[in-house]
Amino acid sequence: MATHDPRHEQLMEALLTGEHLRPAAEIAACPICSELLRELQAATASLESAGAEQRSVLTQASELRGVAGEDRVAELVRQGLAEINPPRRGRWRWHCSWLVLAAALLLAVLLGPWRREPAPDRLLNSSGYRPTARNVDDLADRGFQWPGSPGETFVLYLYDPTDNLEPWDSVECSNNKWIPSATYVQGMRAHRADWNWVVGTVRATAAGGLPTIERSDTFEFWFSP
Amino acid sequence: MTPEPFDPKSELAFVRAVLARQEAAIAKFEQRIRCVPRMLSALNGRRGRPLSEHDLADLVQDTVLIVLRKLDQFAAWAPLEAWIYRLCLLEFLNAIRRRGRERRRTIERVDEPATAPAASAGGHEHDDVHQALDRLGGVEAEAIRMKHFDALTFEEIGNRLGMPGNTAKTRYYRGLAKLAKVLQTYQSRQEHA
Repeated sequence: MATHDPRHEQLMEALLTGEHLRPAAEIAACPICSELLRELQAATASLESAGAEQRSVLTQASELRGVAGEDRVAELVRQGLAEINPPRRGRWRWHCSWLVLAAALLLAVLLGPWRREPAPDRLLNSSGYRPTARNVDDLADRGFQWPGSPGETFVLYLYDPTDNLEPWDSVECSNNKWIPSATYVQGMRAHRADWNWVVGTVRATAAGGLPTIERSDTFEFWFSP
Repeated sequence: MTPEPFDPKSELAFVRAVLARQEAAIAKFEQRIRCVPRMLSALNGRRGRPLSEHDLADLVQDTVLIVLRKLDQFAAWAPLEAWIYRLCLLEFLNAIRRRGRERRRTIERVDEPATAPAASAGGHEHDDVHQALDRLGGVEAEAIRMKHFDALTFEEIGNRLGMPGNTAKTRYYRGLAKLAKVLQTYQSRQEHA
């Protein structure tokens, strides 16, 4: 029986992504990897089957006409849009009596010049390094720079701030810089609309190496209010 | 569903125009969102019609409102209809679960043996997959969906996610490893139940 080697991970990835058609001998002989392979193949089979069902439902749905509730859809859309996003003028008329205005002015006088509090600038990291961009919207312009040796790579793990046990995504970056695409930033915001920040943990690794943690640090990335 | 080839930018612009309440966009949206009742009806048919026409009409109403409320979260990684399908499926599953619970309560009240039909109370073989993907979230779940649900190549997945094809492969593989763990948790939970 062969012993497990972290390099098997690359072979597994090649197999599961279709680069290799058959499992390499090392994988078949490794008890950990052969077990993992069975699990991953089962998951792939379930996904294939769910995907086939989805495509079939979409095709079937595109051919259906006159089903329950279809006649009311247009009306529901109008109603729904009015509920979620009432026209400004309508809202203004509804809410803005001189009493509301007076109360707001009084509150402003009591609380001092009103301004939106910027996101707290807590320093989570131990090195004291302040990255070029901490606001998610600025990431696509300026990128996230990590001070390291030239050629060093790093992996940025992104965590849910409320449950940072398992990262929900990780990004590999070479030359110490990560510039996410605008689509990625948009996706970050869209997928985690209920968070106003995410935690990123950087783990520097030797160039091209497996994730041996040589140095690590943690940062917060804020969404604009 | 969408006759034109999928273009993320124009799809996103369309959704923004709907949210900005532009009349032409709303009129087109009203046509496209007709997929909600059709998808729910197709799902109901496949699961042995656990929901009556009346329940289905109620579900259509709730789902359309949920789609509208979540519309600002649409990231255009897939056509609008594919995104709507996920919401329809999750709402449909919630509805049949609720119905199953109601039936069990009714049966307990009249002191009859619990013999609710599987189609109305139980799950479906793909439910776990959709729930696990929803739980996984992020780019990894999107890469998996694009591979298995939209049948895209890694190059195409990379283009949609704004990353090289090889990075898309890595994301897909990592996501798959996490998903397999989640699916195993669900499976062992079912075995112990």
